Amino acid sequence: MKLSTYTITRVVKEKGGKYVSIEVGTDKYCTINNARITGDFFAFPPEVIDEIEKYLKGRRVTRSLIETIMSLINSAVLLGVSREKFQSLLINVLEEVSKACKVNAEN
Amino acid sequence: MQSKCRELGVLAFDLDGVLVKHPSSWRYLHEKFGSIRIIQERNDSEMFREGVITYSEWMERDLKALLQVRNNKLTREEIVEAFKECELEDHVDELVHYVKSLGIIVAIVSGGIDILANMVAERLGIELVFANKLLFNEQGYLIPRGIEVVNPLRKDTVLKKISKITSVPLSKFMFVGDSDWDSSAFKVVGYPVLYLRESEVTLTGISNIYVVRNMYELKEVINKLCSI
Repeated sequence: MKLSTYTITRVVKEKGGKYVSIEVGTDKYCTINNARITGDFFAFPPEVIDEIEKYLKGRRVTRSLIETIMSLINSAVLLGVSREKFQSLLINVLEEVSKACKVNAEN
Repeated sequence: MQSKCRELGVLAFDLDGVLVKHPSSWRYLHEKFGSIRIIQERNDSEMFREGVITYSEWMERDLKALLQVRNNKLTREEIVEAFKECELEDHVDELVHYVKSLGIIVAIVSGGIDILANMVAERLGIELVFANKLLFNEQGYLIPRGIEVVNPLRKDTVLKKISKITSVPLSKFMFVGDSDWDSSAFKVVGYPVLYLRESEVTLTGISNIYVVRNMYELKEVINKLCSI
């Protein structure tokens, strides 16, 4: 097994010009060790973004993790990016990084 | 002049899509001279990414397409004339002037064409320019062979070269690029910056990248780093 880690960053520009950047990295065991969500959108309460980042760290991508993250996002109000867009972006990045990590582990 | 900014010694720009609005100087020429359909029918960029063809071969294929529609007659002057209409990014001249006033070395590292890179460099007062060279015969006509100076997937090697020339460590480099073609550069510099022009960009293996959408935002990032 290779000892590298995996990071995927996806940056999306919304029609209004706002952007969202989601960076997720895993260690060699596919455990998330880096999660960074930035951009010029607004979240109320603002702590929800910190909570999502903290919740992700130290966990593997599973259905239950995704469900928890989705409920955290559902509890917030987002301005500058739609909730659906934000959710699908985050899920895509999580699934992609998890898949890339697993493929490499199998090799 | 020594940099007044302790954190930043060199600011290297991608050319296409950053210093100029058009995303590709190669594509720009194909659009201008009518060879765009030929290259659209191929999949050269994917073939290059997958290692099926080398970058020199890709350049050669592009140049042959240009010459095909021009009956092998395309001069440097015609190319210069075409590039004169290539628009600079808004406020880039102010930004470069400002950065130079801080004593930061400015460079262009582009997988694009040297003629455009040199025109932009001259206009903005940038001395370090690395881009791929077109070649012309004794009669002044373009030939279907170029000199590979910057492999777009290996911009890191050029940045390492600049680091050697300037004696500035890569940790004090900022690289501003607009796509995943710049990944190798983003990975080696202390301060990678994504110039967000496309609606979506995905990068792999890069952490803590700054995102800006215009030259004002880039100036803000520089000011923050330099504590101005």
